[in-house]
Parts: sequence; structure tokens; C-alpha cells
Amino acid sequence: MRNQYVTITHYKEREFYFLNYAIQTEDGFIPKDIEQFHESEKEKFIERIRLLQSQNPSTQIVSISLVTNQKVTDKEDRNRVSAKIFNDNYVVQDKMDIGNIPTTLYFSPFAILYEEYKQKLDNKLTLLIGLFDRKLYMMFATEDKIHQSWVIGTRGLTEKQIADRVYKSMKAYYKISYKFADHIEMLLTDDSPKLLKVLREELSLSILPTQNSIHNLLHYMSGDSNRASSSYIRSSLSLSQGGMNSDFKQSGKLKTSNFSSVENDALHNLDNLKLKGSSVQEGDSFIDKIKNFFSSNSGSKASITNSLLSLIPLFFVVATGFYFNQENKKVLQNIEVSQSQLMLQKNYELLGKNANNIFLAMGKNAELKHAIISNNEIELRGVVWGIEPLRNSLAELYPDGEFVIKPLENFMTEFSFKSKV
Amino acid sequence: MASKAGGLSLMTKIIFSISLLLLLAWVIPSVIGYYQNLESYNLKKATLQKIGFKYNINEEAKPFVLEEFKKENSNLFSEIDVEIVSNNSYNVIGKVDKSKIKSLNSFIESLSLHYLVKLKDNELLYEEKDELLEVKFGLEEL
Repeated sequence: MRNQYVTITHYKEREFYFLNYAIQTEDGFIPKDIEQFHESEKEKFIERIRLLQSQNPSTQIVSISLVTNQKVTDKEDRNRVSAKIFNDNYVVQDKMDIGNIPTTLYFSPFAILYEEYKQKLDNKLTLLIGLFDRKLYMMFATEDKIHQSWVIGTRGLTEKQIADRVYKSMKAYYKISYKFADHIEMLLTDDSPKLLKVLREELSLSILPTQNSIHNLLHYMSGDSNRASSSYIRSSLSLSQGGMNSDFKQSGKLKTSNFSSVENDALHNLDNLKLKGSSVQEGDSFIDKIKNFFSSNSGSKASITNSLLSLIPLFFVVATGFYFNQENKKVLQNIEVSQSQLMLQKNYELLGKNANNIFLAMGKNAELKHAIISNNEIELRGVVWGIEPLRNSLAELYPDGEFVIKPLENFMTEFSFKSKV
Repeated sequence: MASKAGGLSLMTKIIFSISLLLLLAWVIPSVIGYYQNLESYNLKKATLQKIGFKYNINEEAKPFVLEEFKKENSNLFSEIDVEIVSNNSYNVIGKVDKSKIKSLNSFIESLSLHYLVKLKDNELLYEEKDELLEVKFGLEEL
């Protein structure tokens, strides 16, 4: 009894914690009764895990991640929580969400799905669907690769709506790969005969259902070191090599403080489907978002249509920009002209007044024969009869001017006047 | 939005990005600049109109057209001759009755409100000829 290997499994669904343990044997595991705790009894629930752990020195405490922001990628993301499913296929999520509940192995539904169906995969495309906690975890897979994955929340949806979303997911995958799944495998952790019936009717496909509880799936995953290696928690995996009956060495309790307990309960729907399997999650960095934005799935007819349609806003933007640019040039020209007019107007007003003053100064005292009038200087020449009145008038207007008189042969007098203005 | 954009092709994304970039860097500044300049232009136009009222001018200044200029000012000048110096430059020689000197000066004062021209060197040359006053000035189109 002391040497037997025990797997303790737990998960939370709605407001309840479910706990189970099983004795692992060469012929499989022997599960015990499932225990249920309300979330208000969390301490009691943890104590129960500790007790089971203390009673069985060789244990693994196993749980499942039921968050929606999980995805399968073809490379490991060291900045996020990731687990290798097989070859170059990793499942990643932003954060651990186990709270302060002891856990030493922590599996993604995607890892469980792959483990469940890996023997059935071949070179034909298979859609693997797992219904866990009213969420559909979907993977398009062949024997060598998981091509695409996404999660669809089904809370509040009718069976027909769920079937519709599965169909839309298949269509979405077809848009990027031109491939429909050859067949569908479905793993149900809830007993949902109605859902299965509707899926069969709506999708007109042969769906092979498997029904199993989350506890049993977790016992199975943690019963073998190879399967357990697809756990998110690798630090606690200190496995002795061997078959199903190998004991897992205790590697100390999980330092839960390293993990965030924040759970993202937001459910994905089809509007949020990420067609390239590189979905942008809340925790993605800005650079990741930009990379994702430019991740291409060009080449499809739809993308060509999109490209052509996207020319419409470009055309509109260019046309608007060109129009306002031209109009702006016209307005700037008008401003320049108006500015010149205003400046010239001041000059001409001054010039007109200068000329007017000079003619007024002549009055009946003189007659102008020649004059150059500008805003800088004036130069006058003419015949004068009243020398002093003219001199005085001009001196009043231009005090620094030079007034010269010259007698003419015909007994008349010529005057000349120069001044700066 | 970013997640929805993830489903678009690379070309579509590039075109959208260019559109957005042009909108932000070119179109919006052009539109803002246009309306700011238009406001400034309207202000200057209003100032010119206000000055125009002083001289009983209700129309905007028009481009200089030689024949029209001669015709429109035939009342002021007893004789008027305009010689073309170059493409947009002219020399005007007009004879004015001495009784119309005040009108001539008023014409000079409001010249830029009538025509889109400027006086060359801001200079007027007067000469008495045959009991009339001959006035010479150069004009350049704006």
C-alpha cells in the first residue's frame, strides 16, 4: 500500500470543486468516489487534497486548464505557459490559473484530446472536438501535425447553435486551407446525447463520440510518464522512466505563489476565431499584435477579393488627400495675392496722398511742368508766381526739401524742389 | 479588431496600413491646413472689402486685361496709351485734364482694389503737355 502510486485529480466547474483519486496499477487505474466541494469550502477542499497526499507518499495532484485562451502553436513560447503535445506542436496559454490549490500536473484539453485520438490520426484531416465545461476545444489534425485550434464557448447556446458554430469553424478553416475535415471525433466529458444528435443532423457527418469524465481522463494522462510530459507544469515532473506502473517521484509541493490565479472566463465565439491559430490574446505584447496583424494567409480567392475591396478606402483616402491638397494650394495662392493687395494698397494710399498734397501746394502760386513723385522722394519743376507762399507750403510738407528758384528770360521764374519723403 | 484583422491577407493588411498612414500623415493635416488657410484668406478678403467700401468699390480686384483697362478708364484719361514691356509688364501713358487731378490721385490710391497689379517702383511721372497733364507709370501683373 505504501508503494502504490496514486493520482489525485481535481478541477472546478461553475461554483464547485470536484475531487477524485485513483490507484494506478499495471492494468490501469482504479478510481474512487468523486467528492464535491462548494467554492466556499475551498479550505476544506485543499485540506482533503493534503490529507490524500500525506496518506499516499507517491502521488501526483492533477488538474485541467479550462480557460479559453489556449491555442496550439508550432513553436514553444517561453514567455507564456506552454506544454509540448508532440513533435513541434505546443499548447500555450497566457498564465497558470490554478490559484493556491496544490497541483503537480496540469493538462490542457488539447493535450488530452491529442492523447485520446493520436492512434486514429492518419494523413486525412480529422477534426477533434472536446467538450469540457461547456466549451468546445477544437483541433484540425493529421498524424504529423496539428494544423489549427480554437475554443468556442457554448454557455447559453442551444444545441443547434453549437452545431452551427462548429460548422462555421469548419468553413473558416476551409477558407484558409481549402480543406474540410474528412471526419470528426468528439470527446464528451458531459453526457450530452442531445448535442451529439444535433451535431450529427446539422453537420451531416459521421461523428464518432467518446464519453469519459474529466477525472478519468486526468488519471489516464498522469498514469504514464510519457503522457504526463505534456503537462504545463514541467518543474514538478521528475519522472522515473518506465511503463504505466512506474512511480512518479515526489518532487516537492508546487510553489503556487509563482502562478497567477486570474482566470479568463471570457468565452470565445466565432467572431473571435483566430483563423491562423495565432490568436491575439489579452496578454499579447504590442509587437506580437503587430506580427499577428501581418501574418499572411494570402493566395486565397477571398484574400484577392479583400485586397481589391481594400483599394476602395485607399482610393478614397488618396482622392480626398489630393482634392484638399489642390484646394489648399489655391487658397495659399489667394492668400498671397490678398496679402500683396493689402500691402500695395497702403503704399498707393500714401502715394496718392503725396501727389494730392503737392498739387494742393501748387495752388494758384505755381504751375507744375514736370514731377516725379514716389514714396521715397519727390522731384518737382515748374513756373512760380508766388514764390514765398509756394516755398512755405512745400516746407510745411517736406521741411528738409531743397527749394531753388531761377529767373527765366521771359520774366517768369522757374522753381525746382527736391526732397526725400 | 486585431484578431479580426488576423484573417485578412497580407496584401489587404498592407493596403489598409498604407491607407491609414496616408490618412493620418497626409489627408488629415491637409484638411486641417486647408480650413485654417481658408479662414485666414476670408479674413484678408473681408479687410480688403472694408477698404473697398471707402472708395465705393464693391467688387473684388480683377486680373489686368489691357483693353478692358483702357476702356474702363477712358473717362479719366483724355488719351491713354498702354505699351507692353514684357509678358506681364506694361507702361501706361495717359493724359489728364488738370481739373481731374483729384480723380487721378484717387484712382492711384485705389489701384490695387481695382486690378491685380502693382506699380513699378511705386513711382509716378508727371509732365505738362498741351495744357494737359501727362502721367506715366509702369504696371506689373500680380
